[in-house]
Amino acid sequence: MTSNSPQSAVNGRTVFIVDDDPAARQSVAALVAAHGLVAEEFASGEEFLAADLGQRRGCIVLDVRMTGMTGLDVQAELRKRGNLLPVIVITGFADVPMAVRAMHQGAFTFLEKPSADQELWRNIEMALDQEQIVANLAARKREIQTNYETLTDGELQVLEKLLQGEPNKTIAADLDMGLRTVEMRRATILKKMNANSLAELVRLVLTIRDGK
Amino acid sequence: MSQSISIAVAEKLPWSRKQVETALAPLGLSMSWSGCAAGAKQVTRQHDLVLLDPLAEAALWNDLRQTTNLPSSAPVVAVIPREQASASTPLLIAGASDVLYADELELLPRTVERILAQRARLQAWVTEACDREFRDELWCQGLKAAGVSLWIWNCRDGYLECSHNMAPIYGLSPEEFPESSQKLIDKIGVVLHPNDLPIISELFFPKPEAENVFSLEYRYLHPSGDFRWLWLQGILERDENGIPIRVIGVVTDINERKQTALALRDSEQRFRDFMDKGPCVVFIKDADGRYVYVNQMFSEMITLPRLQTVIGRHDEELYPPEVARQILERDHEIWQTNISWQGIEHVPIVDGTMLTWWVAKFLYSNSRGERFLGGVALDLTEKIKAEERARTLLEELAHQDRLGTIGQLTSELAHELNQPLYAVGNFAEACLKILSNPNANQTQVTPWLEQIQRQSKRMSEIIRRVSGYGSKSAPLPQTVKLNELIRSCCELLTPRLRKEPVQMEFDLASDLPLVTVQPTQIQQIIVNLVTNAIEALQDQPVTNRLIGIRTRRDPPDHVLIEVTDNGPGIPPELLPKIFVPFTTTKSEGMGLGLSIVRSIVESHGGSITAIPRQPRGMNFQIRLPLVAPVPYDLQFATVSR
Repeated sequence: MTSNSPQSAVNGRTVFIVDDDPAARQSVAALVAAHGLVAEEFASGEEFLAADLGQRRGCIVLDVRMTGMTGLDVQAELRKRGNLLPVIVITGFADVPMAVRAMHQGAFTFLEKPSADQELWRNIEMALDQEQIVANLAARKREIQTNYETLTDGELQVLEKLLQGEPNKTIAADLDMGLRTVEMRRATILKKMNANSLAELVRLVLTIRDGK
Repeated sequence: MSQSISIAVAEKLPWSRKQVETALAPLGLSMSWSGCAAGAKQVTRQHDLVLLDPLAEAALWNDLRQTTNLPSSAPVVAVIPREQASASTPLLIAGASDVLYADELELLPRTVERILAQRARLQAWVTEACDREFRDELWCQGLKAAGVSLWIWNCRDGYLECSHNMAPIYGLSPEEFPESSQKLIDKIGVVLHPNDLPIISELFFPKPEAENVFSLEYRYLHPSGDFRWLWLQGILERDENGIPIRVIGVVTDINERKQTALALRDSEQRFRDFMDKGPCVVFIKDADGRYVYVNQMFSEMITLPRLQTVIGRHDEELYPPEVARQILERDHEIWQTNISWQGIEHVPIVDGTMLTWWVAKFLYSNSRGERFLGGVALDLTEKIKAEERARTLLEELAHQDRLGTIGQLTSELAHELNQPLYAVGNFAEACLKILSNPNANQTQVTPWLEQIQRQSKRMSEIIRRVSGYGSKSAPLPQTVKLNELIRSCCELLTPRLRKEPVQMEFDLASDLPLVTVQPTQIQQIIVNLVTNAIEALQDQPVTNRLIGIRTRRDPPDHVLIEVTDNGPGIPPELLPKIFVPFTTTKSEGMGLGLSIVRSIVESHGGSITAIPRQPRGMNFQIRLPLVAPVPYDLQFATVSR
């Protein structure tokens, strides 16, 4: 095993291969299979976009030059749809503008055919690692968001003041409520948000707000 | 020989016929008699002698008198009574040959003898005269028939005499021909050709050492305005001291002969000039294979120094055995079949170099029925070299152009190659991955290894395609299927066509005959034209880019290739010179593409035209012969009857 990442990290994830050259496509699939992963092949960008990936996990190996939609167009469309799977853009003949566009569109990496030894696989692994991180992050965000959504309007009022760094006393005065009430609501917020301190609370809230 | 005499006797005689018979008996003549009743004309014509008494028969006498002055009329002897003697003199004056008295008939024989003698003389004279006249006539006719005239020039007194038939020679009528010597000299002198005056005056004023027999030709101005040629032959007569007395000459009109001779000489000269100044090698051999004529060029090129002349030599003496053998075999065939031949022969020339000439050989006969083998050859060595150079140049240019095209196609070709390379790399890596894991299912690598094999084949296929196109083409044409050739070069363009999405429409005739061409060069034509079309279509929407390739038979012996596009077309002002080198509408490129296309088409004996299409686009039409002309130095021979 050359891979550093634990086998479990890639389990349940798929490498989506989009290339109009059957041999090129199959070879990537073989490579993926040799590493014990699952691959899915698509002969064109249109075919790939037509398949509903939903919340499926993995990474995309996308050829640029294809009959019909080019890989870059497919990449742009995926981005538009909010698909965050890392995209490895591959081309048989690269020029700088093409590479720049691919990277601007958020490609994980940009590789030339034929790639150097194990370069493709290394990048697939890295992409999957990144995807794992992103997926973890997204899960965390979703958890925070879920917790956040349990807050009542009163608690949200107090939370806003807390985020602005106001002390309890000032909050009580501003919101025209008792100091005790403020303290109670602050404790509820920390509990609901699963935060151990005010600092952690602020970080958690900012996490979900940054994403917007 | 006994003489006979026919005597006419008038009716009214003072004497009897018996008396006349008796009187004439001593002469021993056989006599025939008749009367004069037939009339004077008959009488004098049919009889030798008429006896009558003019006094008694005045009417007949008067008639006879009318005839007596005719040479052929018979003499009339008047026999009158003595008492009429006084009439004798008037009768003699009136034409009687003699007057006798009736009583002296014994004198008649004397008279008859005299008359007969006279008649004999006369007849002799007449005969002679007639003879002479006849002879002169003969001479004249002879001279005339011979077309010659006689003249005599007396050197001493400067007197010239000419036969009258000289008139027509000088273009004069007999009446115009001067009688007098001086006029003759004047007349003839002025019409002499100025260049010939000296020889004529030498003739008329001979020097002591002059030849006694002469023959010369001179010209005179004919009234028609042309100088005509005369031939003068003659002898110079001298006295015992050797002083020239006179010149006797014969003039013959030889104008026609001379003109013919001159024409012949001209024609011979023309022949010689034609043969020696022309660019051809010409030779004639007899049935034994000996050279009987060669022109200057042949002689200069072929005559080995040791031979001095080619005439009378055989080919074996001129050429190395192998060359001579080939030539002789060919000649033998021509002699056998009597079929003219033309083709290429390689012969060594004096300086040792090998000559390639096109030669036509044929048989012909002269007027005596002798047969000869004639040959005309044209030296093609330089032409072939030049053609070779041109061909090499074209090949080089075409090669460069193809390399350029390949350069343009590099990105596409790289992509073409990168696909399988990429696949091979991935498959190999996958295999390695499996093989490094003893627990893995090893059998799964088999399809991957097969894939690796397939992809390497694919790569070599691509490389073969490109390297074939980029290589310098073999000079020999090949017989190929044109449609397959066209498809194969479109394959070469496939990546390009994929990159710039263009719709290709093929309309390839199924009944296309095989063509003999240089395949690479024809591919190049298609690649260049299609590449041009792709570039022309660049600014058009992807959905409206159309390139068509169409092939058709073009009876009887051509094929038609059309490459069409629906691009913007070529500006009308550029259209006339698009095939001229360095004409380009592109920012890059030398503008050699179409000129190379045309050169290739023309080297195949074909033609190319660019026709604007309606409403837009271009149509490049190429007409190619089914068989491209083969360069001279490769194989060439035709037979014609």
